[in-house]
Order: sequence, then structure tokens, then C-alpha cells
Amino acid sequence: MSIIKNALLTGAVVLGVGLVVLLLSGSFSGKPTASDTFTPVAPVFTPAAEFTVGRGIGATDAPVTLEVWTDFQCPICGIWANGSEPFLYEKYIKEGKLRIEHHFYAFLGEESFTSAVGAICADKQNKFWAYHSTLFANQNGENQGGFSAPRLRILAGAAGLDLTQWDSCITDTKLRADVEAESAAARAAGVSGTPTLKLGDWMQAGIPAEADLYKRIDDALKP
Amino acid sequence: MRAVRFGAVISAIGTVIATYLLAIRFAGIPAICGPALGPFGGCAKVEASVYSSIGPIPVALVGVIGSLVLLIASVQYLRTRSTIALNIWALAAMTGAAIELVLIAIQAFVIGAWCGWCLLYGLTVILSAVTAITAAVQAERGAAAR
Repeated sequence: MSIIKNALLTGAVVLGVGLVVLLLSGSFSGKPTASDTFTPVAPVFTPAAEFTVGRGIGATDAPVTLEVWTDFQCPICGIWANGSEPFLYEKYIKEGKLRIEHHFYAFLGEESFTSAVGAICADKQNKFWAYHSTLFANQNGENQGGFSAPRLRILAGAAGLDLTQWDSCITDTKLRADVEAESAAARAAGVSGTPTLKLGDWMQAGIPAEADLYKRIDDALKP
Repeated sequence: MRAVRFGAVISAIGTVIATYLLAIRFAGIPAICGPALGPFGGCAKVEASVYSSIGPIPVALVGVIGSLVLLIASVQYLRTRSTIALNIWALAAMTGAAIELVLIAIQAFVIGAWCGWCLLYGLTVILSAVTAITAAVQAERGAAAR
């Protein structure tokens, strides 16, 4: 077979396989693919209640504050929440050296906004971090129903929220406006992706190398 | 041979773009991509999507490796006129172009955002494929004439 036929055939096969996989996965349908009946996965990391204040973890008078903007649908934020924060918690937060302040930057789609509204509802019940960790342990695609209203309610229940209060809170349009305003403010402050970290004058999108982040925190801790 | 030179240059450009996208991912360098790029400023949204990696492997890393293969194969063909190099170039370029078409479809119909850098990279791969096929046609015509 000639070089041209070989190459064209290979390209056609790869294109066909790629499109079929996407079609079968329901990616093009725009319809939710996540089931509304499921058993949530237990969170990887839930900080002790004594270290949580609102949307922050760590002592309010901790010498260093790390600000973090996330979108609950963003998979890299999931890596941050499940993989990086637990280490910061053990190394700095429990020692009273660091406080992490969480901010919303909802930008990936409708489920980003509804999950963030849910986070405010969780905060009203002093369960922000339980909810935060439960959501990041149960990500399921983007705008595919992973954080649909019924699934969010199940996740809220798994995080220990009072669901009667949840039901009256999650539909509050003012909270939705608050999330939109917070996301717009983040954009105006230079946040363009998630997660974004800010420590003093340093601001970075993405997860930095562990050693780099620890060095920045250690430097900030120096008198 | 002009087409082959063009293919090599375009693959070099593709390698630079893919390396930049990989650096954004790993080093947290902010992408020069936002409202300034108009409708193609959705890099952050595309980068944050589940489609930006295949398991633990970033798509940008696949792009760097792919473009390097295209670059090396096209340069090797330019230097030696080796049939093996042309075969590798054409196969890799057509495979890459097919993958790029799928990724463009994902941006259009699934994510609903356009990443200017990703599109530019895709264009380099598609142009490399067109160039490789052109080179293959010329090579086969040359062989037939002999």
C-alpha cells in the first residue's frame, strides 16, 4: 500500500474512533450523563472543625494567609483539594502557621454556579469544608449532571448538612448573584483560571511544585 | 522540497506552542489568552476541562511529543529523502490531524470555548499533514517517472 493510502487510512481510523468514543460517552449530547441516584464517595480530606472558620481553615491570627480561588467542577482544583491541601493542613495549618481562605471563581458552567451557591448554604450551617471536600471527592465531568440539583442535595446530606435548611437556601437567587459577583471580582483581580493561589504579592494559576509552595510559605513565615 | 521545508518549520512552531501550553500547565505561567483574544480567549476554560488530560498525561505533553516526531521526521526526510522518514511523517501527521479535528470538535460542541493557542497548534499539525501528503504525492510521482 502506498504511503498516501496508509496515512489517509490511519487518519480516518483515528478520527472515526475519536468521534465514536465521544458520541458513546454522551459528550456531544449536552444531556446529563451522571445518574441522580448514587452513593457519594467519602471525602479524601476534611479538616477538624476546630480549624475551620467560615470559608477559611487555620487560625484567624495565623501569620500567613494563602488565598485560593477554585471552581468545584475543575478537575485540577480536585487535585489541589484532595492532594495538596491535606499536606498543607498537616504541615502548616495544624501548627497555627497558615490559614487558607477559599474564594469562588465559578466559570466552567451552570453547575459551577449551583455548586458554589450550595457552598454558601453549607457555610451558613458551618459545614463549608465538609461540603467542599465532599464535592471535590465526587467530581463527575463538567456540566454533565455531576452537580445537578438532586446530586448536590445527596452530596450535601453526605456532608452532614440539614437538608430542610438546604432546600430553602439552594434556590435563593441572591446567593447566586453573590457567586456571580465574587467570580466577577476575581476576574477583575487577575484570576483567569483555577485553581489560582495568592500569597502576599505572589499570585499563580495552577498547582505549583510542592517545594516551591513550601518555600514561599516558609519565606513568608520568616520574621 | 519547499513543501518539506515548510512542514519542518511549521512543526517547529507547533513544538514551541505545545511546550508553552505544557509550561502553563506545570509551571503555572499565566496564559496570554483572555478577552484580548476575543472569541479565542477561552484557554483557561479549555485548560480546566477534563479534556485537557488523558488520565494523568496532559494533552499538551502529547502535543510536544507529537510535534517533535513531525519535526524530526520532516527534517530527516528533507536531508535523506528516506522513504521510512516520509512514512513516519505522513502517518504521524495524519494521526495528529485526526486527533486535532476531534479536539476542535470538543472545543466547539462540548466545552463551548475556544483556546486560541490550542487552535493555532492544531493548525500547525493539520498543515504538517497537508505538507506530508503533498511530499508523498511528489515522491510517488517521482518514483513513477523513473
